Amino acid sequence: MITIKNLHANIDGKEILRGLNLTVKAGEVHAIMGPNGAGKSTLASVLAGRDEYVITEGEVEFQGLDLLSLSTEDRAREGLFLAFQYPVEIPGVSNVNFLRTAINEIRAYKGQESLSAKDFMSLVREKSALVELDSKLASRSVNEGFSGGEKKRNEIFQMAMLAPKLAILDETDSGLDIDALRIVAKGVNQLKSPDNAAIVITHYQRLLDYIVPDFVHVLYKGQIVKTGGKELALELEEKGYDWIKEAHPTV
Amino acid sequence: MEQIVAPSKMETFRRNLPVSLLKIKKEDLAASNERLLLNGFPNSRTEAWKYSRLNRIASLNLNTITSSPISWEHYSVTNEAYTFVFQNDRCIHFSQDLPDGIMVKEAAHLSLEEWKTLDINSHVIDINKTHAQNGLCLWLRKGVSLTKPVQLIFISSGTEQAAIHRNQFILEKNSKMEVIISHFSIDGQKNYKNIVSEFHLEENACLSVNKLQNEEGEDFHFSTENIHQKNNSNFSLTTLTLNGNWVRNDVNVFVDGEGCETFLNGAYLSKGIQHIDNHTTIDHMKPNCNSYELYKGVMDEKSTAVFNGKVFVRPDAQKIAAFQSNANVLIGDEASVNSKPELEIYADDVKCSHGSTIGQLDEEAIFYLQSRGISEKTARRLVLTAFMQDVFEKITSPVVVTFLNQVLSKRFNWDLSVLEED
Repeated sequence: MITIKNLHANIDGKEILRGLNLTVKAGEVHAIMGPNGAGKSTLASVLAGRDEYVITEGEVEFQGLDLLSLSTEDRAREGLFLAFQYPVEIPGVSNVNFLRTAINEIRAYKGQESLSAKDFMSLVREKSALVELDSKLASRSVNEGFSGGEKKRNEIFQMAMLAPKLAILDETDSGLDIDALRIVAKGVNQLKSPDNAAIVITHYQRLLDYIVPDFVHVLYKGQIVKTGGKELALELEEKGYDWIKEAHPTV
Repeated sequence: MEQIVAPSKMETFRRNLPVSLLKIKKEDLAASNERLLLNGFPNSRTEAWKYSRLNRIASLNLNTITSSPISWEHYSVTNEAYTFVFQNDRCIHFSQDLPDGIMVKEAAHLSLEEWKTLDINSHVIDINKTHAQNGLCLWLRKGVSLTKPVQLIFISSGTEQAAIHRNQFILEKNSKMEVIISHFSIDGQKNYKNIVSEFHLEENACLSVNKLQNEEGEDFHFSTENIHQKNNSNFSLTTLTLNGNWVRNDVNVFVDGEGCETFLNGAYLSKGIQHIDNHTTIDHMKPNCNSYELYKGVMDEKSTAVFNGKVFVRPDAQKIAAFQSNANVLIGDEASVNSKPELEIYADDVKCSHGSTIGQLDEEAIFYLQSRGISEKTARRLVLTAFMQDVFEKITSPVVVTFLNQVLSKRFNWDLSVLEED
């Protein structure tokens, strides 16, 4: 699905990613954990194509394509999806119309015909039920006046609508209460298939009770310093990140 | 206060302009001539013209020669209207097919007594008074409600042509109508257009005016709308400036009655080195009235815009609710806007608010949309259209909305229908 090799990235001259390697195969769920400032959100931003970051070294292959040479929209059209840590409010642009524009631009990119209004609306009904998103929210302006939980559910709703190959969830659990967390996790689990994959970025182990990862990676100072199974998350929850930091003082 | 700079410039400017063909009171004409002679063109020290320099206009070598004939039908916003068309200095189409209850005359045919001129001065109005060639004058009789709009089309063509007209609309008690005023230019080069329109709303009259400015070429455009409202009248003006080299709009509303409503909406979209200036004044002279004013603009490339909105509430005009807002988005690195809301309130029981914002496109929103597979171009269009939407949705005339859609998609590659579906 995606292979990241020796990725180096900086912002305003400050190096954040320092030789990151990661391979994710179809059907897998990978969790990336790490202390604050380790580079977790930077990784998500770089993969999605945020242009404030300068990539100085390394490569990313996504489904046989050179991901870093693609524009943000083409990455999305090829099946990459980023669930934002802080979803943006866009006053005046309605959720459904923006999604319909997105779906039809993606379809045009793939040489497919536009989705009819009827088919689109039935897709909206089906997928909004999945994340228990009020259909009224679907027609409101993007994230405007949404609660924190609604915003995150809206991210998963969009993910369900766009059916990506690779979903990157950037701290989707932050700011969520336990009920919202359960709903979000349920949505993610239902979208899981042998053909797609997910990278779940999180600071806490809590989310991983609901979205069970195949692999857990610890990101520290811009590198993946430890990889294990789901039990690694529990170990981190119990011991914190200090033992990781102590084991890698010079990274 | 307009200061003396170079009166000779004004004399040179007016040299080849024909004298007014309208019957205007001698003392009014003399006063206008005297002011023009004494004050000349206002310069940049004059507050109302500080950001709209008149140098290029002052040096025009204007004339009025017979223009080559044009076909105006193409410029009609709707066929379902009573249409009057002016090309440069003359009237080329005058609708004859009018229902009972409406009377129209060419301005040049009005008697002295039929003019009902508001007492307001500027060098633009003075030039208009002393050189106006024609215009439309209309009376809507008591209780008459027009089902079709009245459409005025002003087309300029040629080079350094002067089009100076004066319109007058009188809406008697309980009458109601809609007016569409549109401005176009056919290969216009340095033409000068100066249109003054006066609207007199008697008790309980209701008037909606949509003004569309869509001039290609390099014309200089001055539009002045003066409005007088009596008790319980309802006036709304929407100014859509979609194209134009140099545009100045002056709107002066005298709310001289109780229970009135006044709506001023404006949208301006500029590119290149265009300059668009909107000056508005709402004078609340009587109590118990509401006014709402919303102007929004998007400036691209090196274009410039000016917004100056004054709201006066006079000492005895209690229970006034006045809302004013001006919002701007600069999408060109070298674009600029000067926005100045002004409130002068002399009554104590009023609810007034004003606000002005100048910003750039929210790049985070653009990135968010792109991350969902939407091209950067479409993303920008979506966000900009959404920004303008609250002005656009105040347009009640379906034909104006259709026209707006056409211009936006052609000139700016916008698609409002994206926001309307479902």
